Amino acid sequence: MAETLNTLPPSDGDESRQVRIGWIHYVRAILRDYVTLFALAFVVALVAFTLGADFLAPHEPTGLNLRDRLLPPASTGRNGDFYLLGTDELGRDQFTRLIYGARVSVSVGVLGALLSAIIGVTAGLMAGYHGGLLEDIVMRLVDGMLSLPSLLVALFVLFILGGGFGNLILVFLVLHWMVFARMARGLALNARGSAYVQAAVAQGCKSGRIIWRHILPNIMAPILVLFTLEIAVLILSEASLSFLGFGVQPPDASWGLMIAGGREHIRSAWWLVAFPGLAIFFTALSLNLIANWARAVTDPVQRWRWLAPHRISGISQ
Amino acid sequence: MSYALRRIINSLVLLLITISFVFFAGRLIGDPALNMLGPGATPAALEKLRIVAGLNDPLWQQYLHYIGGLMTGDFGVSYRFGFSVLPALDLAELGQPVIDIVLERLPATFLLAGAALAISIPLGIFMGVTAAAHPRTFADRIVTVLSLAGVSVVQFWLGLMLIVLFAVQLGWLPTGGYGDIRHAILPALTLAARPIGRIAQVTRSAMLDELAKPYVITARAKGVQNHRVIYHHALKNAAIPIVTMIGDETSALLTGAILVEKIFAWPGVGLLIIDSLSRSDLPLIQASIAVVAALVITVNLLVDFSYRYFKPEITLGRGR
Repeated sequence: MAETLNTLPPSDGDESRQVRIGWIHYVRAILRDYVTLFALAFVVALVAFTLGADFLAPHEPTGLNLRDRLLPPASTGRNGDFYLLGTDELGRDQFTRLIYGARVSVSVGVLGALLSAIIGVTAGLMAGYHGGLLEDIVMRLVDGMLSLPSLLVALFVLFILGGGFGNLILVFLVLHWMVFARMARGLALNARGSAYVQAAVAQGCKSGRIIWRHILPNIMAPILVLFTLEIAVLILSEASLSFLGFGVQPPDASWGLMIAGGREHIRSAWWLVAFPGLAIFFTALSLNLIANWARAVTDPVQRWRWLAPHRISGISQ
Repeated sequence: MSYALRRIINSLVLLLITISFVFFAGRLIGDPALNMLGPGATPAALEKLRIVAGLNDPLWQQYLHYIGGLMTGDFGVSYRFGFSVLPALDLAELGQPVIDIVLERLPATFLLAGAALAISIPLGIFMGVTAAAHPRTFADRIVTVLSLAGVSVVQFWLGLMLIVLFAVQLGWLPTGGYGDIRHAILPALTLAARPIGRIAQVTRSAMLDELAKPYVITARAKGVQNHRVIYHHALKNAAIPIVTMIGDETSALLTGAILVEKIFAWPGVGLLIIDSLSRSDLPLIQASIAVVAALVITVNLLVDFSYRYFKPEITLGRGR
């Protein structure tokens, strides 16, 4: 059976023409799916701008230019400077500020999700594989914390600890690890009864080796999908908390903080609010689309539709 | 012990833990007496207040006193609202009871969350069912894109954009505040965007599963009308994930209202929480968090119980 999961069904019924799935099938599948391709391109561009902000930004992030205050998008300043997305109340180029804001917003999202995943998956795998008292404690904690209003708890904790990059990530870790733990525990529970784990047990593998070398690689796909979705969730939460003044603190700029700053000028300079929000929107949308796609192509039952050599009519997410 | 009773006790314990956490963590931000009177207070005034408010007692004694007060509905008095500086001789004269302030704000939040649910439940279910009944059509694509957009948008940003468009540019609706129905339209739409998307997504996928099952084919073969098959047969069986999602979204609405109320200056509990945090009004923070946490925990409990109605064969707890 295992063989058929890694192959595509023969196009003409000839069993000898079965093809093993390789990376070329994934590349072809994504080139065919324009929506996902756009999402992937957006994320790649975002990462490139985030990492190469110092080279790619057209202006200085703190370059004040009071003569070019509050210029609308696609306008030219007095010195002939071109401002693609307009300028703010201090004459700073908004496109440049968005790129530098992306650094903060994206790294809060990625770091927060990564740490939550590490803690959550570890706790969930241990609980699911070992069961017993450990499982009881972990799941009690997971259920309890999941039924708390997380935005409210985050607000209160940040009020006590003060905002800032590190505290924000700490709060996200404390409030989001359960999502990963719940999923990992379910997957580990399933895996415990499967033949490959039984075989490893029969060969005398230690439980640590079974969990990390046998189970973890096999459940990586759904965890990566969840990880992608959580990045989007955290970027949205960061924006909300920073907007309220409890997240990232100036002079750091994040997208949420930029919306908060632009709010004062909302009647005269709509672009100061519109573009940071659109940046968050397209980032979250792209991550959601990529997660949907990844879920489809890693599903052993479904994925032949996406990976088949010929376009199969009528597939949609 | 029955399942329901055990779940209720678990929820109460969780609520107690939350309230205790807020009580102790709140003490980390500094001297409550200094907080109440401000930096200009004289040492004598501070000392007098500490005696009146019982702040000189050991912390555990204050905690027991606080929890004891909660049992009788006494959440303490506000540091800011109706606060009379000395000479007050006992606690009741210090300020307005915080629970009154919170309860006064609750109807506005309920109104907002209720309006958002009234928009999003029927619309989300309708969109999801339509998409599932016509898979891979243009309608399906539209629903998929709209629901993803609803999930990906930043709620408070959407609110600001709606204000720019409908209040500032077109001038059709007020920018914020509380009054007649026109004030509620934009905040309710803003709050509804996300639940519409989530409910539509989960309805679509649950209905796609149900519509492929043999009993649907049987019903169709017997000649049952199409909309009856979809809405009476399949939708009821697809109810569990949908109800779970509605419950999740209801608790998300109660906290999501914090930002929406802030944007639209809607005088609900959310705005009260923001105000009390920015004024470091600790008793008010404690009371409003306790009330919202109690509401959210209750909603989650009700969602659990509703499983029984929709799928009686699910064995809850240790079995029957």
